[in-house]
Amino acid sequence: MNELKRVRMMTAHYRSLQGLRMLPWFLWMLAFSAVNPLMGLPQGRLDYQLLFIVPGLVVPWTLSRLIGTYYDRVFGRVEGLPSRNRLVDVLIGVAFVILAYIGFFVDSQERWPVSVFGLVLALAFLVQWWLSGRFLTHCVVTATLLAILSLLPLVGIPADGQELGGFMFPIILGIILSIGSVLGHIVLVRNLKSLPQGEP
Amino acid sequence: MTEAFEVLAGLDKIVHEPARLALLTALSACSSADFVSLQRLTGLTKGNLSTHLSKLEEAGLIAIEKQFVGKKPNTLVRLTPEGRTAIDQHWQQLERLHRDAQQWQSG
Repeated sequence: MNELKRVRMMTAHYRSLQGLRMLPWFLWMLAFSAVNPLMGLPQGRLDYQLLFIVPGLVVPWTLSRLIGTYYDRVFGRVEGLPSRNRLVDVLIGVAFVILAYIGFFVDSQERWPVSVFGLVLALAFLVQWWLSGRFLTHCVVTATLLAILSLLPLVGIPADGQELGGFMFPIILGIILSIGSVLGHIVLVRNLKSLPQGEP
Repeated sequence: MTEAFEVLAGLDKIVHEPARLALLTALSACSSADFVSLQRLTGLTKGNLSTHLSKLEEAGLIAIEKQFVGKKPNTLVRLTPEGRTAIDQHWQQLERLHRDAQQWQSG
């Protein structure tokens, strides 16, 4: 029964566990956040920003496509079931976008000792874990790390890095999301069978 | 308990065979899956997987579609409506048997 349950859950979440697909985007976010202030680029100058944003769209997109091809070749393709209630899915998505925007606004306007944006992201991962029937364990790890990052100012550690030009938060965020995506991949690999000897 | 034995005896042998039950369970959780993913999910050899898929196709429980992805051949497998009904009913029967067995043990 447990083996069959594993098969069912793995099939249902096959795509969600292919975390490396998103890794180039998270690494780009990390690199962009780190390089931008270190190079002293003017924050308001769009031409400088575009120098990074345009390659930033092409490079992770290309890498993500290549990783997708690797997944299809090595792990095969699974097409998920259509959503039972598409309207609810859309409403949840829209609610999180609004909450994230509010969180971002509050973080930039108020000096609260927590990051509301980080907490919203943590909540999003926690909801994803819950909706997966508590199967996607890497989502809980990501949510926990995000919550810790968001609450760090409460114990006197400035997670938003105001002293460092306000760029520490997205860097750590990029690291946490990268860790989460790698963990998802590890869950996928550990729960799949290796191909019998002599088969590609 | 007699009723439980009747349910046990009435289980569909095509569906209940362990490898085929795993395949049908996997396919019940998705719209379609290709040959490689089914191999990775079940650990079956190519030969075994092909044999089981042929039996399930003959029984009308799955549909197999051969296609090309790029220049490579790709075998796509999906449950037929009959197959989805069969695996859903089979799981209901198994869960009922499981409950009966637990009651029998405790009683």
